[in-house]
Amino acid sequence: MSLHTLDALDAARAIREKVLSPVDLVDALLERIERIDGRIQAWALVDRDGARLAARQAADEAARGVFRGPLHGVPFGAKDIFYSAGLPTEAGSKVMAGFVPDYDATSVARLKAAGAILLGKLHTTEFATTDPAPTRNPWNLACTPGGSSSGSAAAVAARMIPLSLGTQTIGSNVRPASYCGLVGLKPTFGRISTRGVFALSYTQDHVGLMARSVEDVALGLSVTAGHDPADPSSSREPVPDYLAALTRRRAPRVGVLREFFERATPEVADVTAQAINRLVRGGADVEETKLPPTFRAVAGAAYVITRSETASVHAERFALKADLYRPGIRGTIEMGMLIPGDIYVRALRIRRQFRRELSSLLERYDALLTPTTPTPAPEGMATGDASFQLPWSISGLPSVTVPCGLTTSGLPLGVQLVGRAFTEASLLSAAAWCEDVLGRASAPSL
Amino acid sequence: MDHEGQRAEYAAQLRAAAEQRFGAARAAELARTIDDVAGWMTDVATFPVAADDLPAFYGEPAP
Repeated sequence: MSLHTLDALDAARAIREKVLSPVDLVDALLERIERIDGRIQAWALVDRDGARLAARQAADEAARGVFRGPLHGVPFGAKDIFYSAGLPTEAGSKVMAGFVPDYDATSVARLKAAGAILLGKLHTTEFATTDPAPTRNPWNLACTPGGSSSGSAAAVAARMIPLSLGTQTIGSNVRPASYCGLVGLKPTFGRISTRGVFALSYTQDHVGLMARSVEDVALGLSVTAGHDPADPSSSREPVPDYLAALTRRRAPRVGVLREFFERATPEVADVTAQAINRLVRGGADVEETKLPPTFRAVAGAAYVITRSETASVHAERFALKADLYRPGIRGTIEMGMLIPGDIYVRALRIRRQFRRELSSLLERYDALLTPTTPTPAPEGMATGDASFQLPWSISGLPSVTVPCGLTTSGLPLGVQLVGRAFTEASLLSAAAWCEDVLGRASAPSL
Repeated sequence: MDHEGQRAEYAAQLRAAAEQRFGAARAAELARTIDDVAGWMTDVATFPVAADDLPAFYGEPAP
């Protein structure tokens, strides 16, 4: 087996069993990046020297029987809005050119503490909004990988790393994961610290994970989740053993949200319906259900909240460097400055009402199910339609995508599962069961 | 006021504010965005919210 195809859990196991050296794994991935990233453009920065140094340290420790944690010697990448001590963090923007933070984002620090090796920084749309990254979709280079976590998705799909950090404020982690045939998780708001992640919208930013299997996402979550006193939005909810939860996987009770099928292309609706039929044949208890009435107002509320908060995030920098911002983020900031305070607060109230109504609906199910995206990855640079992620971002509820098939043109599609707040263990267990039934995505030809 | 009337009023207010803050030329460039934002504001303003529904805050426990 080529080392670049190893998933995170398999690599960690092989390193622990001393049949794989972290040095060989890092070298194989760096060689892979060298060979194919000219076409994919997933990486904003590859820290070859730092990764090789960390790999040598990990190898020395492993030889002595010292293992820092469950990801000892396993490489990962982080979207270039995650602070990384000593490495440039430029958020896809000229505004941040040359910025080098002096500390790691909490999620990056926790992955490193678990033994993982930061291979580099992954391209993002500018400040995680709409102005595109240069990254292309490994399944079809004419298509977007989605965004804003464009490089995070493309690098994992192209087997340049087994695990990446992304973020989601509206639809930026789960959507690109699905466009690239990956498993992507947006956990409950507050589950993973956002300290050291360049903010887009203080009350809607979520750190997310992408990998090629539910197990790897569970492993990544087990390491990154948990309270962070330096993040005022961080939750004190206990962190369960997410990997152990996967050993208890069983056929879930699923509520299918039909209105999403009506907004998807016929091919997406058809592939998703076939996937549901397979889940039913596998034993899932499936029924159709509907979103609560507040759903009608949540798109407006989400965009009002994010624009208002983005304007606040950028106020000082924008006053000094407005001309350096690209058109999408510039318009977002300007419009955010003009939204009245009473409308912003009303949007917050709608958000809470929607979250409460959704939580009632979810008492009947292990998960709600939708197609992950209304279309496969579109051609061109625009990063696609985030509307199927927006309700779970604004409500802060956890959502996960698992691959469910390919279009006739060979692009991956996914099904999206949504759970109650802080039930990632059971949500990932349901996702793993679905993955067993639906099968994992193949690798793109590169 | 109906939904479309409210939207038109918000769009006019946003246009005037954009002209004042960013200048007439930039406000014209933002015309389409202004219409989008006016629509979102209208969706929010016209949706019924119970008087005792407070906004969510940081650190809110799981419902």
